[in-house]
Amino acid sequence: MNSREIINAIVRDKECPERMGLFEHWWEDTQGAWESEGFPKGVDLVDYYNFDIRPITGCFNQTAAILDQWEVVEETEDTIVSINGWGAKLRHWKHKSGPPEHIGFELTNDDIWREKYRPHLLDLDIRRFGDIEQVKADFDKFMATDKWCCYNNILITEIMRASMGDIVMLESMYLNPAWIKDFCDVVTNMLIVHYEYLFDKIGVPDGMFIYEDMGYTYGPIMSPELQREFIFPYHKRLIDFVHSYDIPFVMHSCGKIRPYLQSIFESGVDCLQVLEAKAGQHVAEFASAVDNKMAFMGNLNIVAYETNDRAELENEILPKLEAVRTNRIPYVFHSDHSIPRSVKPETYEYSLELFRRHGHY
Amino acid sequence: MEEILTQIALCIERGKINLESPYPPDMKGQPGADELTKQAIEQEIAPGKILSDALVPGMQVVGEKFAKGEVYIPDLLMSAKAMNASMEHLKPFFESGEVKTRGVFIIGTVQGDLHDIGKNLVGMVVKGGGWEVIDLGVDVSTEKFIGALDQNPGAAVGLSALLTTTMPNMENIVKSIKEKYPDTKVIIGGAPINESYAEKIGADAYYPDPQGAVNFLNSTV
Repeated sequence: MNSREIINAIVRDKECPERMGLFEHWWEDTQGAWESEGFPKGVDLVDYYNFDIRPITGCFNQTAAILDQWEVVEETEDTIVSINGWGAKLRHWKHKSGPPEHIGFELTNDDIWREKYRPHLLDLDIRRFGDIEQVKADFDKFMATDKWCCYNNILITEIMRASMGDIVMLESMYLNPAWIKDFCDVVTNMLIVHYEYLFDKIGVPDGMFIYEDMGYTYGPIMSPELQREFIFPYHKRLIDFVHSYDIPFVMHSCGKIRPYLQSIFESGVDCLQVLEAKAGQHVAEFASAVDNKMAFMGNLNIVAYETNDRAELENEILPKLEAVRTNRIPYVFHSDHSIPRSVKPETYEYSLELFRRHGHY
Repeated sequence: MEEILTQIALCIERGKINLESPYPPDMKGQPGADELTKQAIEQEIAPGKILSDALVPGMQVVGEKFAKGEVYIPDLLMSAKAMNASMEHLKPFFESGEVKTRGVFIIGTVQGDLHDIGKNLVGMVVKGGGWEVIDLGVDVSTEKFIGALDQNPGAAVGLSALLTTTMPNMENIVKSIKEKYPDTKVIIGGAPINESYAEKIGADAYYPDPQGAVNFLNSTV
């Protein structure tokens, strides 16, 4: 079976084919750090490590300011302060990875939303895609390979976080629920209209891979009741739309999201990634809770990778692969987030050796 | 007198800010922490008593529920908003020295790390625990922490790190603080941190939730 067939069997059909799937994410600065220590320069990691999944395109500009998504307002040797397309001021590192500092948000109430941002999100605007010819060329090039190709983007929780920040988002669910629901409704429709265009004009990929952080290490960011009321309906609407094209939906969320599992399952998510082990989550427990009717990707504790100790890595990986095999869990081998620069290439490659030896059903 | 303090504590716990606030729905149309604190002061209840018998217990209840996973971040935020509404009325008494905080807590995200949400939540709850909170922000150097301690002798310190790559900076900061001010209590927290790491780097405590930090700080005074 080739990569496309393997991932379709796992993610779309929730089956256990001849082997588990293989994929990984990297922090932005990891490859550069590896290269400075002798790793081959400029390689495509999907090809280099022969991953099964290839993110291809679809991460279009989903902000209200379509053209000027990032305006740099301050720059130092180490950091850059920019204003995103929602008027939010964020400080990022220039040379390393990590979440940004939230300096300030303009979108703090529904008056600003209605007057300044909402009107720009109501219609299809193909400028969001940038160079559409290039998007088409990338799509055709990668779909001709045997990799499982996916469109990716962020979803409403991430879009709210980027536009109004966590505090306004979470407080407003209590203080101004109508605004938050209108925001989610408008943004979900905007995503659907633009994906409809991509599917019709560019092509239908093998699946969707959407990033939607809903948890932190110790718990979900909101109660399961709030998630059900404010997030679930919009997830379901988008996933129903994606399923109408007969393709599966992979959703990433950091943190402890076990309390949302039933809601995530009911929304139609086909594969849940990344199951942070640091948050006390285990792939076998998740799979059992949904009777193996959902696929899973991840759950290999990055802290074990960071020890750069083979025995630690074996202790983390082997029992989980055994649980996946024994319980017949549709599964894609992946760390529980992304590979940081502190993991040595030989450590990561040893994890792949373990996968090759033990990653079959 | 006790009744109004109980009412204020309930408003803080439930996140009822003021009369206009629609949240929580079952308290709609009722006065909130704002009006009730003003009323308590007008009734000449000692501001220190309002702080210790209403604000602090209210925040403590919600902090403990959060630690147990019974309430979530939005609930904590609403409680902090209600507490801030009360604090506005108490501010003049803090400024005049009539009301004293339990101590000073200096908090910051360690150098190399820009993440601030966890730190801000801890700051809110510690403030609600009756402490003065000095927030040094994110990407805070050792020198800045030491400088803040120079200015606030006897203060406790809280360090936050989200990234495993910045944990070594946390260790360096703890070491420098303990070298210059060995009696300073240092609490650490953040996604990759645990108790054994706290022990390893010489920090006094690690807590996965803000109320744990408050309880620890209260035990030191």
